[in-house]
Amino acid sequence: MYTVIEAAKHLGINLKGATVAVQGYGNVGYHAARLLHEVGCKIIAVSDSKGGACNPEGLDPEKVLAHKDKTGSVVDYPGSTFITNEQLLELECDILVPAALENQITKANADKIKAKIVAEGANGPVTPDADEILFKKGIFVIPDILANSGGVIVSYFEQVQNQMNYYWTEEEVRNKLKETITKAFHDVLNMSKQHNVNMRTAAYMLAVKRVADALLARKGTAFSLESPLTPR
Amino acid sequence: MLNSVELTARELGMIKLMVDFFAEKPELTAKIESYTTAHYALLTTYSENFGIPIEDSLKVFEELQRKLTEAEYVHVKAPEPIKKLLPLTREELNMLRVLVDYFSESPKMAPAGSFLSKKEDALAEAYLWFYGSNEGNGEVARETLKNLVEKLQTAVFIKVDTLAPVAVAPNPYEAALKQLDLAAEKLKLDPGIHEILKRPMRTLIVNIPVVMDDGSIQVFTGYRVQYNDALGPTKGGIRYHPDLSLDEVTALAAWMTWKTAVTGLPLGGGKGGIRCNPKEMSKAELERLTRGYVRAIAKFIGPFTDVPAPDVYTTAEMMAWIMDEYSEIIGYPVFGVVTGKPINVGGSRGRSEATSGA
Repeated sequence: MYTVIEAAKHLGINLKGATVAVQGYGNVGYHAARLLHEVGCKIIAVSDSKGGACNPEGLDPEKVLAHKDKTGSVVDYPGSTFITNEQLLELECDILVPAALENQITKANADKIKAKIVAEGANGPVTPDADEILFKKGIFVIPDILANSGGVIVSYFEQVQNQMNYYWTEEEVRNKLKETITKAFHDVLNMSKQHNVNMRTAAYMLAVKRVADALLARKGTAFSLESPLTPR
Repeated sequence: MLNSVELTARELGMIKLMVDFFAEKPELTAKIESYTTAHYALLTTYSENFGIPIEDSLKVFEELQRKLTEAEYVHVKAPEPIKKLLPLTREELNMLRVLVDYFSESPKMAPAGSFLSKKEDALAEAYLWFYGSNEGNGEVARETLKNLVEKLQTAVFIKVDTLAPVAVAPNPYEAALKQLDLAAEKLKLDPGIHEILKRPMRTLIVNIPVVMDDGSIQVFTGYRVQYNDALGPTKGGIRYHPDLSLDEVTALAAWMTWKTAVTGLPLGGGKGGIRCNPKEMSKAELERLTRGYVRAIAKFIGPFTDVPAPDVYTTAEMMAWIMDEYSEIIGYPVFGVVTGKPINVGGSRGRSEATSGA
């Protein structure tokens, strides 16, 4: 969720006291809540498949996890009121993290989303038509391809460590992860400003451009008609 | 073409409930006496048992009835220790149709109003009338019903083979191409390069024989798609799922290509998987399957070519098996062939907070 921190800076939102709702309390949802809580955000609602727990005064992510481990759900966490997964999405908050299933924000409820930032922890929680509505409303969506890329980045680090047979501390991994993801965020943000497109389109544009440029750089004249070589 | 459909958990639950009405369960017998029709008794009991509205129960019933009407063959998977797919006989399938008809709103085969007394007789009569031959008699029909009830009571899941066209989910590969097309249009990408990026660089389909715990052999289909390696070795997870298709794997491999590229990693994109139901398999069977998959794709993966990772229903433990099997083939430990491993065999610290994923 380092991308959320960068997005907040970009939008001028003060993370101290910013309100957060997290849909889904698996690995992605929990760590999102924990990290945002650490930087001073107020976690006002979390949920899982059985429903949600809401407290405008803020929830402690660690204690909610302990409650979930004990009872099987975040529902009925002491001091919270029950909230459905649908209601959670429509809460008045600064940051919304859908980290459960795909197709959660559709054209049916996109108009009711009040968050300023939507970070796609899950794959595809916002449908393409809802994406357009959110863009028009000025809601900043951090697309899945960027927001949940932490896994593949650490996979890359794992492989690098394997190949050199030398291993980093957790601290080193975390710092490198933060650095990589922060750079990726700003690369996409620049692309989106340059072409006046939303973050999702910008992310795909940047990705396709990088792959295409690499192809051209590698194949050189092989791709031009004058060359006797054929690609691959 | 014959298509296979697995009945959903809800549909299986409904079949089991129908069967339970015939299995002399005292709690059901007492309960159903307050209802006037089999249809209503089934739907209300089902709604209560599963905590869903009665309209939803009706939908489950209708979908189930449609599937069974179109069925050519029905297979029932027995629980441990048999765990085999048992086909229903032609007679049993016909009897199953009579049974479902009996619970419908206006039964076409069984006489209406026969619910409370002599349910078995009503079904046997209907069966003889619609499916019986000249020599058929009530005794044989009742025996068929009994066998059917026994088979269905223990079923873990039910598979239906049908000639009818199966509702096609939107093709994930086509959806992935739309994302590429949009980016290509905005970038004014060279049409030739666009054409290259529309297709996977390399696709591998393998069939993996596995000796199951009961000694039988089952053959599983596995895929590995290396979508594009312009930026580096291809990278992406391996998923185990009964509904996995090559189109899905290809779409996910394309998505990994964009994901590694946008993140700025020196990696390409790939994805793999096996069509199997890991929930139905023992750990030993999963290990034999995983190792068989590695042997089948070993020539195409490696730290410099293609590096798998965990995905849906695959775990850190399985990644250790993959690393081990690959190392056995190569002759020395190759930790870099796969990621998402446990920390004591080359896994990275700081993974859990970075979330799962390739």
